[in-house]
Order: sequence, then C-alpha cells, then structure tokens
Amino acid sequence: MLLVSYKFAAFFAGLAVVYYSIPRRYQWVLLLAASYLFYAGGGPVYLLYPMATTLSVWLIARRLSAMERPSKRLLLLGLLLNFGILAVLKYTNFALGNLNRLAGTDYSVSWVLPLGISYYTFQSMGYLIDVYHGKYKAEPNLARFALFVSFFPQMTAGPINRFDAMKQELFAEHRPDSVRIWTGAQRMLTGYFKKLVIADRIGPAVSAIIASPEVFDGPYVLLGMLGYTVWMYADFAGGIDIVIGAAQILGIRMTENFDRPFASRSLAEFWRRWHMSLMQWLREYIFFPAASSRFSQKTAALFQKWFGKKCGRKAPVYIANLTVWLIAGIWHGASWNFVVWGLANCVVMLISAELTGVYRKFRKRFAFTGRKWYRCFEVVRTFLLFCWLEMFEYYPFMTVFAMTANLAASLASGSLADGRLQLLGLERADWLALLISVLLLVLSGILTGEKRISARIRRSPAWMQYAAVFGLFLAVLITGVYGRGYEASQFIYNQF
Amino acid sequence: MDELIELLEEINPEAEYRTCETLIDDGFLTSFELVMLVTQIQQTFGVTIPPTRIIPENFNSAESIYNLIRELGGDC
Repeated sequence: MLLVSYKFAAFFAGLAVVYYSIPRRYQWVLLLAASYLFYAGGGPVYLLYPMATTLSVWLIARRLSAMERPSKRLLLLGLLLNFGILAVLKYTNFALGNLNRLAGTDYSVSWVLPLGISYYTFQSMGYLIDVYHGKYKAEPNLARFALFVSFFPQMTAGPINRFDAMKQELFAEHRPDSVRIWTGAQRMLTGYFKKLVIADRIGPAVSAIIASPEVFDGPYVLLGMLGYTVWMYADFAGGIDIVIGAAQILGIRMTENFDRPFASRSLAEFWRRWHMSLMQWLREYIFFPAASSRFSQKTAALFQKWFGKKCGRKAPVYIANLTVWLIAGIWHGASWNFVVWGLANCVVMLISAELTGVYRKFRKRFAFTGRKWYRCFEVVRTFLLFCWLEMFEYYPFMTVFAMTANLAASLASGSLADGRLQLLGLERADWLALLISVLLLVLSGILTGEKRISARIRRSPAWMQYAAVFGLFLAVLITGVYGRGYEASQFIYNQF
Repeated sequence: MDELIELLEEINPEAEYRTCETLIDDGFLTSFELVMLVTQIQQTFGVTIPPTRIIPENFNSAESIYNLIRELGGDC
C-alpha cells in the first residue's frame, strides 16, 4: 500500500477511528494487525519476510538474554541469517550482472524486493546487538516484538527506530489528544506538499537531464545537480514527514531522520543531520566496532611500528570509515554507482579529517570565520559539495569529471534559455510552482532554525495557523502532481 | 592523568583538558579523533574499550576518560 493513495488515506482514517474507540490495552494489538494488513497489500507472500526476521530475531534474542555470558556465535547466527536474507534478495542480480559481464553469460533472477527490507532488517539487527551487549532485556512477548519490527509507518522508508525508545511509545495506552493529532496532521500535510508539489514535479525533469548527459550538458549539469538534490530531499523528507505525522496521530513518537541538513557547515555535520537514523546506526554498530576490532588494532600496531605513532593511530579511523561508507553505498543501491558514491564520500570525509587541525588554526587566527557571511559561505560550500558527490550516484565515474569540466567551461557563456528547457516537460507554471515551493522550504528551514522566531510562530493566533494549514492544503490539492508521466506515488526510498 | 592529558594534547592541542567538560559536545574531539584516542589509550594503558563504552558521557572530560580507563583495569 502506497502512502500517496486513496487506499492509504481510507486505511489510516479508519484505523485512527477504531484505534481510539477500542479499549486502550488492545491498541497495540490493533496496530500489529493493521501493520500486517498494510504490508500484505503488496501480496500476502511478502509478509513471510518480516515474519521470518521477527521469529528468528525474537528466538535468538530471548536465548541471548537468558545466558549469563551471551554467546557470540548465536549473535553471529542471527546476523548472518538476517543480513543473508537481505543480501540474497537485494544483491543477487547485482552479483549476477557482474558475473555476466565477466563470463559473457546472461543470468538473472526476478525476485521482487519486499518493501522496506533494509529498514526492518537494520532495526532488528540493532535490537539483537543491543540485547547481546546487555543494554536491555529481550522482549518476552513475540507479538509485541512483531509490532516493533513491522510497525507500518516505518516499513516504507524508515526511520530506523530503536527498541528502548519505541517500547514505551508502542505499548503505552494512548488517549486522543487534539493538539497531538492536529500537529501530526500538519506534519503529514507538509510531507504531502514536499512529495506531491516538489518531488513529483521535479523528478521527471531531473531524470531527463541525468539520463542524457550528451544532450543536457553545460549549465544543465548544474540544474541537474541542484534538481537531483531537491528531488531526493523532497521525496525522502516528505515520506518521513508523512510517516512521523501518521505515528504522531496515533500517539507514537518515532525518531527524527532530518535536522535541517542543508544548514550544515561541513560534510561530516551534514551526515549527522541527513538520514540521521541510518547514520547513527552505522556509527554505533559499524564505525566504533570496526575501529576497535582486533583487525584494526593489530593494523594500528603494525603501522605504528613501520610508519610511526601518528600513522598507527590513524589506521583504525581509515578502516572504520571505509567500512561504513562501503556499507552506506551498497545500502543505497545494488550498483557500482552507489559503491563509488560511498567511496567518494569516504575520501572527502578523510581529507576533511586530515585537515581538522588546519581548520581549527585557521578559525583561531582569522576573526572573520566567526562572522555570519563566512558561516553562509560554509553552508553553501557544503551544499554544493553534497550535490556534486550525488553525481556519482547517477553518472558513470568518468562522466562525473567530464561533466564537471564541461560545467566549469560553460559557466561564463552557457545559458539555460536555448530551447532544451522545453524538452524537460515542465510548463512555465510548473517552474514557478517549483521556485515558490523551494523558496518556502528554505524560508521555513531558516525560520525553524531561529529559536525565537519559531517560538513566536508557535504562539501566533489560532486563526493564522489555520489559515497557513488551509493554504498548504490548497497548494497540495491544486499544485500537487497526481499520476502524471511516471508512477508519481512511488517513493524513491521505498526500494531500500 | 598527566600521560592521558599528553595523549589528548597530541590529538588536539587546542582544548584546555584539565577543566573542559564538553570535549565531545563542543567538537574538541570529532568522531575520528575519538577513534584515534581510543586506539592510543588501548595501546598505552593496555585496556580494551568495548564499542558500547564509546559514548559522549565517557569522553566529555579528561576525568571521565581517566575514570573509564581505571574502571576497565588500566594503569593510568
């Protein structure tokens, strides 16, 4: 069931009514039934996958929790089994594609990826590792654990929740709270605005630009770069707004996934504010364990012996960073493009890490680095760097550099007004709607960042708030893109 | 304690380690520098710091790092 469909609207409205009508101690049971119903919408057979993960992780976690010294082998069994299912389903065709290229064969499989498999697998594996480390006890009730794995809002595009935080939210008894329901509905509306007005409008145009670099070169490379980032953000953050808002209406608070990422002043900061639940997961379950693994520490000792102390202590950082970005890359898509994109991010992050000391001295020496205009410069620089790195996702490796050079050469003389703009399928009104919507997003980002202003907005008279929400509703209704050109309701991050 | 302060100063000489209690929160130690510090601590003091203990609370001040090393059986 897609989030942008009448089916979902009817499903969710019906659920909310029943949810607040039944005895509160059964609310979580209803949520489990609704989650399975939601998931079975794609075909009942797909329910088997989250069910297999639920059962295997629940059994292993219970066993681990009962042991005085939790067995590492048992943990590995759980990890291998579940990451194995994910790897086979998600990466078999990628592996076969590489084999075909090498051996000249033509093998492929036609498995359809279960919805949100990466999200619920990562979430369950986080739980298993936490239980192994004794952070909390395993959940004794299988049905309750099943709800944690398959709670329907998180099944489409995350966020990757944590059991210790979600437990209270999912199993508490929730009374209808008009303020919470109202803010949840506003959040959902904001999500639909991002998705239907921006993402689904700009998506086909950006797809056209990036699919034909030979046609759309020069300034169009920049348009594609910026447009791709806007598309990704509006689509993903829009989806997250919808699911967090939906959960909020049901009284459940999920972890946030975005914290105004485009206000970041460095790439490292950006990755702490974009897709936060995944990056936090990677930091906690991959980065630190990889850095303190026996392999890293042995490598550090060897490097220290061969190249000196400084080099030795950096070895674990390089190993951990490389591991994280390889996983982040392949997580985003089963193709070499994503692997290269991950590695490109890794290289930039390592260069920045090497320059940390220089930056610190630079900031200390020059007072202007504390000025507002310099901060703006850092924000723009980070934004452009992120946009440029995104090019590795959609262009082949060498094309990225060719198109960058091509863009640089055209900066002085290139123009967008040469007839190619019409090939993108957007009318003048579409460009205007996009421009206004993106400006609105930027403005709301700036305003919510200023605590005093956002507090004043929250205190504004009710009629003003209603008028703003009504305006947003009208904007979604009138300027939203409904099923035009391509399958408009498909979220990009659903495929993960 | 002096040896620990020396290690910290080698990684980032900009902070006042004897008084600062926000090493992680205020960015004096980035996650990369934190990993370097952990490596150095493990090699110098002969302790193993499990990944689950690498949390801001344990690394926000020289004193908390010192306490962690002592707790894990290191001679600091």
